[in-house]
Amino acid sequence: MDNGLFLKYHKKMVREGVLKSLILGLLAGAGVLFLTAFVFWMAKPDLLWVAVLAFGVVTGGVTVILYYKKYKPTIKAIARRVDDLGLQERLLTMVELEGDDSYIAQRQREDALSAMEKVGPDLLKIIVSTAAVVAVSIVGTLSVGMATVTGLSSAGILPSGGELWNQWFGEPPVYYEVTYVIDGQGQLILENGEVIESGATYQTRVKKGADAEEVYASGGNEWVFIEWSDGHQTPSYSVKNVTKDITISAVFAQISGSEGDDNVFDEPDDLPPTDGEGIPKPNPNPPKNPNDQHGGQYVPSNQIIDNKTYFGHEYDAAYEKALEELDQDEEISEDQKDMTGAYFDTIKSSKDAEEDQEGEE
Amino acid sequence: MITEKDIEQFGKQCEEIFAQVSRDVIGQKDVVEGTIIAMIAGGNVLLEGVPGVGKTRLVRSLGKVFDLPFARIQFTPDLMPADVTGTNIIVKDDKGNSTFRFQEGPIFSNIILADEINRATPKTQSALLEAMQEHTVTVMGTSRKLKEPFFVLATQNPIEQDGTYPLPEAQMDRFMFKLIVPNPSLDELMQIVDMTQKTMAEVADCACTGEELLQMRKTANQIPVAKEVMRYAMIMTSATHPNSECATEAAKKYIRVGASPRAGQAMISAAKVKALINGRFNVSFSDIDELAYPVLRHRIKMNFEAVAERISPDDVIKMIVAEVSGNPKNKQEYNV
Repeated sequence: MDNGLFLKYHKKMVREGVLKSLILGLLAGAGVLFLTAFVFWMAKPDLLWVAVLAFGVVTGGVTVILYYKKYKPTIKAIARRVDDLGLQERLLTMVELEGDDSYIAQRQREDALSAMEKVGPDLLKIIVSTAAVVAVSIVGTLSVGMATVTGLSSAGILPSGGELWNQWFGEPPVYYEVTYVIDGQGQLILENGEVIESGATYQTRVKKGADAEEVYASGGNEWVFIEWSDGHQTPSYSVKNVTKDITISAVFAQISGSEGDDNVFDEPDDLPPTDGEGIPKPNPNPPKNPNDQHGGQYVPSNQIIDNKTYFGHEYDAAYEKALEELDQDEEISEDQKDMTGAYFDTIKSSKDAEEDQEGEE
Repeated sequence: MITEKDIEQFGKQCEEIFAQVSRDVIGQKDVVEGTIIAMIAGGNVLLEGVPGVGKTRLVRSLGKVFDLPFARIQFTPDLMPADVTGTNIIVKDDKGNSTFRFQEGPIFSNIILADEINRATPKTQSALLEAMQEHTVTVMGTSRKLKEPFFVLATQNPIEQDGTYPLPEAQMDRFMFKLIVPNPSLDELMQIVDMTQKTMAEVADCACTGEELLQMRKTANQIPVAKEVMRYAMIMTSATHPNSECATEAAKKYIRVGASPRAGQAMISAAKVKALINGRFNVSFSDIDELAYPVLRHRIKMNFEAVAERISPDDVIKMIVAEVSGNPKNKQEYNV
């Protein structure tokens, strides 16, 4: 059979085949995009690119496979389509009689070719299933919408499916009470600047497994922060991974107080040697190799001796810093600066006197 | 092997046959065409219609057009098989010896008009079975071949039921076509009355001889049928069976017994003739669709539900044709 006979119809049939394959490929690809985008939206919105990649691969793959396996026009398929234009199976029979040189076959061929001249390729309309177009439109819209939602979740604009699921169907969140108590004289300073004074407590609700608000413990007049009741010794503290109701105390100690008071800080007898101003002298026998320093670097202040902490250096440093900040603060008048400085000096001289007295004793 | 001359002769003779028949039969285009197609294809025809619509006239006219010996058998309840086939009679020779001699019945003709065939008893109806299928007659153990071409054109009245014997399925199956002869339209009726005022006799002339008719049959038989079309025709036949793999919903609902394989053979043979009459050298799907009615309507046995709902065989065939032709898979080459 001379394939050139059908060439003009073949081009149109190829276009139709590609279009049909593409529509079904898009249908399959959009379906995969929808499913994967949905899964990633529920689990991991960041992996949206995998869904887009899957869409491309499936669409391309299905289109190619469908075209070559189903929609690639054969001579018979073209003959059938042209016959549908009113040729009453003339071309189909002609194709089947290919190679037959009998008289009836020749007459049939002449009849078929004569009839074929009356139908041009323009009459051959590209036919695509309406149902397929509608289906690909619906599935395409859904998948693009799903991918958009996943993308917005990935960007943090929308909640992810997992979050919504937990919100709607998950167990209600459990909260625990964390109570901060002041043991002694001092203050608790909250993150928002609010100050909790001695005698008051600060209570906050914390979601199960979360961390409590950070609180800063600050000592009062002649009182210093010792530790938190759970052993933490930094003034700034936040209870981590709350899984039950907790009451935690900030323990303060009076620098010099009455006997019998457990929280009274007693000056240890064997404090490190100090200079004349009460500042501990450097370690007279430092380790030769700094790497051999087991237990940390020796620092004059914050040395724990007989379970008590020496804060003398901290006081001095705080005094110097307070004076410096007072001097630099432009909002405070000179009179106020003088008055405040005098107050600081009173405290300092009172402390020095105490230290001198203790030194003499 | 057919030649250009055969093709040309086929066309000319067809034109002439139709022209001559139309001189005697007014209207009834489908019935005339169906009868001529069946005769060229070598099939028998059952014409069903009320009295006076021209059934017998059509058959008589065809007898003249084909220039073939014509015999009319008026079927009655007391008609015996021997009255149809003939019988051995005792004759005396010159010496006075008695011998049996076979006296041929009216069936030994080329065109048989079995008028009101359903009035005879099944026993007599059965006398036609062998003649219609094998074109032979067996009497007293001796088979005799009938002259070719041989056709049985039977008529029956669908209204009168008293004193009639419905044709058995085996008999029905041997008719290639069952054609319904409708009442003529008003214009046709005027022409009929006008024509018969002049003469009641058939005026058609001979258009072709019996030998030429056989040649036309050979020519038509050479028309090719594409595999897809052949398969489509067989699907159409199988679709009438309620339990077949091709069964249509209509068949499942309304048919008790479907058409036999003879229906498929008849459909293809007739489709070839129809195509060539229409100047085509191939059989088309539309030929099969159109021929489904005359080929299948007497071969399907309706069930009680169809009778109760007054569904006619033609109604069911219409549903089957719509269902079969509406499925594109039925028009594809598949498992052939």
